[in-house]
Amino acid sequence: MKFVNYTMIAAVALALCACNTYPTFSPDANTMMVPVRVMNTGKYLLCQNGKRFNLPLKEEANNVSSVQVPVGEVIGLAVYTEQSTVFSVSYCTSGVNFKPVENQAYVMNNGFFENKCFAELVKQDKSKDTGVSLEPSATPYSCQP
Amino acid sequence: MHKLCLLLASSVLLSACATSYQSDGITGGYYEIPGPGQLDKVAFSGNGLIKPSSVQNYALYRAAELAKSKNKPYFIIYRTLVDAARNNPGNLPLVGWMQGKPVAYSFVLYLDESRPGALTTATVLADMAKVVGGTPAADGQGVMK
Repeated sequence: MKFVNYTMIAAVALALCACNTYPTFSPDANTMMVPVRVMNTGKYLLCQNGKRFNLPLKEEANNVSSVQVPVGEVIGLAVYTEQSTVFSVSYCTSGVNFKPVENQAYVMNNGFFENKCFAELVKQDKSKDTGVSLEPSATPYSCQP
Repeated sequence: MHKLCLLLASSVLLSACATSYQSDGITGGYYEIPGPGQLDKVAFSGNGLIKPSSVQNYALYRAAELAKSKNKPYFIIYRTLVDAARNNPGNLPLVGWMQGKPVAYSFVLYLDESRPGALTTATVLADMAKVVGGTPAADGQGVMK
């Protein structure tokens, strides 16, 4: 009986871990990529044609981090966060779908508002003191083929 | 055994008080992330004993401290990057929960001259001094994360 219990626990744990195990995105050499600066920590996922990939985080100076995304078609960019307290562990995936274009950099921020996680994406705009403009192609995240 | 007791005693002491106004440390505190543009993301994370409203006030006070350290008599806070892109100023930082603990942050733009929605650095420092329980306008030295 104990064996069954331990096996079930192990299976559940394995299933939970497997939820976020995706291949790392490896674009063709010809694929044009643009940077998305990220303003928070987490695991970043790319959704391309319904397939999910892990996106490696590139750490730069001043604790600035970014991910690279391919241009030309609508993609999903999501961030997966894990919250654990003494009593519980919860997971949250939030993101944005958008169509990156050549020579355009983006900024993504994610966080928690009250008890819900959210993500937002804007495009970099050096002509403004805030450094950002609305990204017209941004829509709520979904990962469908 | 003696070491274990000391460890337990220090844990109890550390966790017994709400986070005070301080730079980021083991029980939380303020930190900044530079950018995008001329913005800084200014945040304050608390422990499980602090009220969300206190975390919000501390984050606002820190923004005012930074404005003062940069000799900026005014500043604007944006609760999100989308608000910054729309130039939609806020009055108080956004508060959410991470790991069961409140975190407040906003994107701060420092100004030489007032604009619609701008807060006055000196007024915020004076009004909030009692709330943070310290001397108005500390040194402005912070932790860059």
